[in-house]
Amino acid sequence: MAEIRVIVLPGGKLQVFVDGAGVSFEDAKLATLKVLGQLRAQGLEVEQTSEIEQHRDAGVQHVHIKGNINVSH
Amino acid sequence: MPCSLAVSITKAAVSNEQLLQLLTPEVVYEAVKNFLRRHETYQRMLVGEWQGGPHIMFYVGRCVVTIVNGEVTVTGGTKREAEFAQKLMTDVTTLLSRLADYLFAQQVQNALAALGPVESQAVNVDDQGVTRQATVLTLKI
Repeated sequence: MAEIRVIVLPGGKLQVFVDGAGVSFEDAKLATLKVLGQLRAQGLEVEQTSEIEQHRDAGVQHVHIKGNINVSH
Repeated sequence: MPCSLAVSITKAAVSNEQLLQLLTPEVVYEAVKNFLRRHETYQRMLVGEWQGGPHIMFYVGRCVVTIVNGEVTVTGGTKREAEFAQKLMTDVTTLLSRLADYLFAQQVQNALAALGPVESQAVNVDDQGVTRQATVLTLKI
C-alpha cells in the first residue's frame, strides 16, 4: 500500500511524496496520478509543475518538514 | 516518512485566480471583522464596517480599508498616519493570504477524502532556506 503525503504550501503549491513498503517507482507514479486526478475531479485546477521524479538524496529540490520527522540533505 | 525514503516526489500548483476564488465576500468580511475586533490596536479604532456585493469596507480611525476580490487598499488618514495605514494594509493582506492558504488546504483535504481517511497536520517546512507554514495531508492508497 502506498503511503502518500501531500504537503500544501502557501500560494496554492503542492508537493506529493509517495512511499511504502514494496512500493516501486511505477506504483508511486500511479498513486501520484490518482491523487492529482482526484483533485481535478473535485474541481481543483491543479497543474503539475514538475515531472514525477524518483527521489534521490541529492536530487529533487523540495521542502523539508522542520522537526524530528524529516532529514536534511 | 523521512523525505530521503520517499519513492517519488511531484510538484503541482493551482493558479492565484483559483486561490482568490476561495475568498468570497462573505468569508472575507467575517474574517477581517473578527481580526480587527480582536486586534489589540485596531479594536479600539474600528468605527464602522460595510459589505455590499464584492465590496467590503472597514473604517479604522481615519483610514478606510477597502477589499474587492481579495485586493486590499487603505485610503484616508493624514500624512503622519501613512505608516499606520501601511501597517494596516499589510496586516489585512497577510490575513487574507493565510486565509486563502487555509481554505485551499481544506479544499485539498476534502477532495482527497474520497480516496480514504486523510490525516492533517500543521507543520513548518524549510523551503530552500525559508521557513513556511504548511499542511501535511497523509493517506494510504
